[in-house]
Amino acid sequence: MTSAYVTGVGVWTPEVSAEPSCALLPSRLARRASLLTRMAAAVMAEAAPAEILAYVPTVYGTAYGESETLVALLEMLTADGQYSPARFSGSVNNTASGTLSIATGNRAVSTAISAGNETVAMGLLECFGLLDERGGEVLLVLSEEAPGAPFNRPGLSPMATAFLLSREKRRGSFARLDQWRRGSAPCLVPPAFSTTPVAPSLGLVSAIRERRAGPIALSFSTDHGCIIDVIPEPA
Amino acid sequence: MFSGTPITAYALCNALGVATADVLRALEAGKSGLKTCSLDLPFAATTGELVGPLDSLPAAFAAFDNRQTRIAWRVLGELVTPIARARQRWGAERVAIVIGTSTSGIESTERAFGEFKRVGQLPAGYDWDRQHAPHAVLDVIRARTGLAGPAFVISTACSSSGKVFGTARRLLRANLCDAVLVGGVDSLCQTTLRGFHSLEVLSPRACRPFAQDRAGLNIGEGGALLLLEREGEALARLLGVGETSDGHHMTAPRPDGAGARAAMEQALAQAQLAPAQIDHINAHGTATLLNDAAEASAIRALFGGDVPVASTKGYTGHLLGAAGATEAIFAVAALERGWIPASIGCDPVDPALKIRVNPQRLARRCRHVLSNSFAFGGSNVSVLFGANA
Repeated sequence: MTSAYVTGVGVWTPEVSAEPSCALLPSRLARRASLLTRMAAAVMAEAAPAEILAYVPTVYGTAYGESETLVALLEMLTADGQYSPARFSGSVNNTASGTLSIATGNRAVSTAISAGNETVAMGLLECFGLLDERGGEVLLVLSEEAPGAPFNRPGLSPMATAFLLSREKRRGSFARLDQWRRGSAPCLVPPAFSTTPVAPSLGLVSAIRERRAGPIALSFSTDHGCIIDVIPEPA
Repeated sequence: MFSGTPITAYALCNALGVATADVLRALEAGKSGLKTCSLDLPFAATTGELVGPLDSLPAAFAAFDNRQTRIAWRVLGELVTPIARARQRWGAERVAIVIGTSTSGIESTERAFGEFKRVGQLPAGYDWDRQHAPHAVLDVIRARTGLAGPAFVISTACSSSGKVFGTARRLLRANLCDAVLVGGVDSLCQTTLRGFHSLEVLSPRACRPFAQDRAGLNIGEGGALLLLEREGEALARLLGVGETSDGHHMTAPRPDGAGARAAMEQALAQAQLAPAQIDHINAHGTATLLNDAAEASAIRALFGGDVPVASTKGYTGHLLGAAGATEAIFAVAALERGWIPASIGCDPVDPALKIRVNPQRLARRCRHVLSNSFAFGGSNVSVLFGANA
């Protein structure tokens, strides 16, 4: 079964605001939080109310993880070789998952996945699996940051999206996602994000918000990529 | 009762041996693979370094060649036949790949960044996507096996390759595939050794899980892969997977082990088993003061003090992203072979823990075995395996 209702979405890019909103994070966590984690905090707060964030299973998708933190560690390695324990413990790909489960008091299953250009598609698949196994809702949070020199590349820019999904139709559902499959469909990504692995999720957010029906590409591949149908719910 | 998902093949390599048979022979003999670390470090360390030289990848895969993908390649070599059989039986697009890794290719990025600092540019041939990113190992596995189903990496630090079993179970249950190649692969690198040293949890000597004078963990490296199929000749069965979050602290477990306990309870519930039906627990058992105390507290609360508990970190070190899958194979070996491995390094066991940790191998016909993995961020997973009926 590859079908779910979307009852909330969130998006953050540098065009939305200068800095992602960290209202979800208590100041002791916000001070340490990386851009990747702060972007995740902003989009999940937009996609779901606090009472749901306290119990909903979460799937975090990122192709490269906490890459700014990794580069900071590499700088330490080539300077005096001493690592900062806080930076090290914040370098794992589930840093956002850990930080935000602490911030929201959420003790449910949470996972962090990576699949390169198919991270959006595989993140959705993990969500469908969780909905099939447990019912209820699941929150998908997709985010990417630019690692910094010398690993930056054109088209890799910070951004995040979130989708609150449920198996059953809820009041306020925007759309139903249906029939995850291999195929080809339009992938509309602004040039600033043309090589950002999770950027196809921006196209999915637009289609859902604009109540546009039709297949949407979940990955950059034009041939044999992953696609899904967006079926708008009446407003 | 739920009969579970068949595990039809497995393979692994780590500090105990280059091939599965060597690893399991050393485990049975109670021989540790831990040695003084050969990496250039400003402090003393003991690690579980892979035995023998690692062959480079064939020329066609040169762009992906690093320590992590070499480990994956070595383990895949043992599974060529069962993977081909599964591909033929179910179709390439119906076999998924779910791999846990925490380090991915960081070891090669450390070297590349060092060169960048020395000469102002990255080495020719270094590629962030093919050398560093978590999905590089997926590309290698896909290309070598011809598998074309859903493929992704789970990267939740030290629980990564325990959680692959939860995902595999869901993918099969939701009919998104018919078989899943699961596993974990991590390599030694400067970052994890210096990082755990900075957290003051690295023991300079061989680690001693659950011992009274335990003094921290050792890092290891290796890879472990298992094939799960909807139907097939089972070596053992996956019965349940519990996954929870502590919601407590980035690097310390809840002191009462409540998150760990909830994960074990979920695994039991999925398998429709009672605590008294568990014959052995392969513990996370890192040998840090806090982990072992919290885990023992969770085990005691749920199972009492009689179930035989072993940590195999004293053999291999802590394989981080590869720990869950490696210890899953140790759990399966206990089911298949009728013995529970000695928990080496535990003697004398910390009396405050009040759980049964055996310094010697124990002959025991096991029906049900749990394997625990816990991680940074409070990520807990408990995986329940059953003997083939």
